[in-house]
Amino acid sequence: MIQVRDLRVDYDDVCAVRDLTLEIPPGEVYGLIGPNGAGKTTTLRALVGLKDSTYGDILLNGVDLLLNREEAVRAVGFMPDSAPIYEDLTVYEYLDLFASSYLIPKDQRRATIEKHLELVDLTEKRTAMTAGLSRGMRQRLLLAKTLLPEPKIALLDEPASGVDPYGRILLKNILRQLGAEGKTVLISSHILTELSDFCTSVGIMEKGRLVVSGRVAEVAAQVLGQLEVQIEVLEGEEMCAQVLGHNLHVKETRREGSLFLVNFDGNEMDASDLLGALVRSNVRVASFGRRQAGLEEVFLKVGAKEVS
Amino acid sequence: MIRSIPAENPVLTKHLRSRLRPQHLVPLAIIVAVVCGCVVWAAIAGAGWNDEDYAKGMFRFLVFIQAVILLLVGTYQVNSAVGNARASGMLDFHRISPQRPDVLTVGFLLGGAIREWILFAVTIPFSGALAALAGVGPTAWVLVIVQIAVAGLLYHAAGLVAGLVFSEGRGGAVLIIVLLVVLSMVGALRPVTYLTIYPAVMAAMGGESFSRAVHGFYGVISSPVLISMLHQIPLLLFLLIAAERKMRHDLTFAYSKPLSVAFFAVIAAIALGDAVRLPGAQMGYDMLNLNVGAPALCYALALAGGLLALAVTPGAGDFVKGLRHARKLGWSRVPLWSDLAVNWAPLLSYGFVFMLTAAAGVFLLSKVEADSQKLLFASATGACTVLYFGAAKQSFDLVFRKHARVYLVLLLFFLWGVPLLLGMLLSFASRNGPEGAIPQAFFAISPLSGIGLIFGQDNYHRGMLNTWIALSSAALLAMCFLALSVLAAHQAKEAAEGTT
Repeated sequence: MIQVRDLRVDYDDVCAVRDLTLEIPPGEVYGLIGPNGAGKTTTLRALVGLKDSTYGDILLNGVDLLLNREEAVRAVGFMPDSAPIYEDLTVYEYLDLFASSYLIPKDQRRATIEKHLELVDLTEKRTAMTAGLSRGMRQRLLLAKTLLPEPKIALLDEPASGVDPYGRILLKNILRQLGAEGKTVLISSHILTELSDFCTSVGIMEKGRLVVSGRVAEVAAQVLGQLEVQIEVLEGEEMCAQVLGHNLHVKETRREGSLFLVNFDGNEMDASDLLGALVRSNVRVASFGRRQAGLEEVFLKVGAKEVS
Repeated sequence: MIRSIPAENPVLTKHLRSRLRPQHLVPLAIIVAVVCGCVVWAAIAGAGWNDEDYAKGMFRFLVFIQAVILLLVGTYQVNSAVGNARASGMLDFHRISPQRPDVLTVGFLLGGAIREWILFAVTIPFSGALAALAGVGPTAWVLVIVQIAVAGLLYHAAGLVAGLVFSEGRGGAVLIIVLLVVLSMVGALRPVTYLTIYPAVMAAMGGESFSRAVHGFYGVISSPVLISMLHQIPLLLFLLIAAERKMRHDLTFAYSKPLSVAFFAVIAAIALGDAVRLPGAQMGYDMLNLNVGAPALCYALALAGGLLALAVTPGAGDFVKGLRHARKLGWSRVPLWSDLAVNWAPLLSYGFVFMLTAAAGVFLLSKVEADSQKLLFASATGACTVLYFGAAKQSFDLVFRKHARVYLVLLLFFLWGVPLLLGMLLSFASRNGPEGAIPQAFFAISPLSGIGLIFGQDNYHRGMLNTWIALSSAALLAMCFLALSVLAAHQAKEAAEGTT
């Protein structure tokens, strides 16, 4: 669990993170979104004690970072946005270095390293020098290194940057698995599509402030304000348009062939009534549902608010 | 610092793996062995077994090779190892691992130059053979090896700290190498010689008479190697403390304010031991006390005070951060000894230690020197110089922020360089050359020459005039810059309170 209260981080005259309060429970995969310079990386570095906070409390699994840094960061796996690697070691030696750094007993090291090599699909590269790895492979190796000590909290800064599609799928599966295992995952990124695939919660940062935070759907509803209903029709498009035109909750309709995108200010019951009306009017409905708002949309709206 | 030695040091293991791969190590070891073999062969074949002077020359040449391998290349390697790890972000990984900072420090210190230590080990049998040929006794030879090893650790620690402090890539390495070259050039001069390998080598070459004739520490220790260890080991420990602090956190100060005062006190104790050459059991009355020893003490302490002031002075960002932190905790001000507080407490402490050392020096020297009070005046000038330098640094950091360095260099040029330049130019016009009253008055303003002038003038009235010019100008500047730093801190505080 990550608990942050009233965190402020300064770089000389610049306030990089301003009064951040955040709580991420176990099992949550939390995406920290924001443009470059919003304070995402600084927040992550402050969470592992690599950047001193001006003030504020950080508790990692209940351990106060300022009072007991060594104990607090023991539960944390940190993956920075750059991919630092000792280029004069082999892949196995690199992981062995951190296995011993994280005090994994000698008799368990080989098995642990092999397990994580397999997890990131680098088993075949075991004896290769790290200098020869591609950018994507380096990211995967770094991910293996991060997960090596089985951390209860994983802090990942732009984990998918430079990773090929296969690597992204691998990363997505690993993150989902971590969430399912009850671990707390905090990912920062400005690539929204990658986050929407696996994040259960998101927070949007702008100019050092956490503007909005919560479950993806809640954040979308909070930011976008109204439901968007998507209706796919097999027959009766004209009738469908008429029914939508007469419904009081329909604010705006966009039509793309047999697909209707409806801005709807009613609740779930009102939406159900609309579906009933369509069926009663002999419109053959292929699908009817709430359209999932994309993070891009949410982010753009928040960004626009901040700017204005 | 070393709480317990863990069974395994991952950073050391990493370097053992990467730097001792046979394909890299073996060819180098062969090259070193062949070169050393050639030197031994030259000693045997070139002059025969009876020519000790030629063999001694070869022995010195081999010591030079050992110094190049361990001191020069080794220091560069340690600096590069930690500098690269820091620049790439690897060091951050180590910092957030459960490994303690002292374990990381030892790992980089020994591991960074592990190949050079092995190569140094390769040279040892050849050095032993040459020592036998040159008639160097076994004890003297062992002391040479120990001296090189201790100096190696000291220089490696300096390289380590430079790698952790300097942000300009290889800048630290270049600085260290320049320092080593300068040390090797002026290493024969006391007391710099005690920071090099000269004492053991010269003792091995010159024998016991060399030791008794030249060396002394508080007038009671005459072994140059022992004196050298008394210099190098405390410095090594304080460098390791700085490295350990920087290993813990990149943005922390190399020394806390109390630690910097402790370091200054240790330097003062060492410098005083060098300066005071009393009529001891083995050494006769030494006229060098006030001509060399005491000025060296003042210059060494002024230099150390200046460097430590640089190390503990917070920038504007840190100062404001300290204020905000204090305000959040409900404190009325930042504690004076906090890392984020202005540097007044350590500056005044350096001054106090400086004067205490001078008083001890005067007390000890009064038995053998009539003019020992000169040390007091010179020390007061040195202490005021440290005070105004540190206060100027603090003021400029708070006022000029990122441009502070430029303004500080300009200030030093005006206060230290221009009087020297004017003194030199006026000495051409003066009938008495540099001994003229006006050139000397200008020389006295700059502490670079002013401290030396206090000791150097035989004419009583001229000497007193120079002393008062040097001392009063330094004291006046100290007061001005302390006042300026108070104002700057007040303004910075007000500005910080105006913004959130």
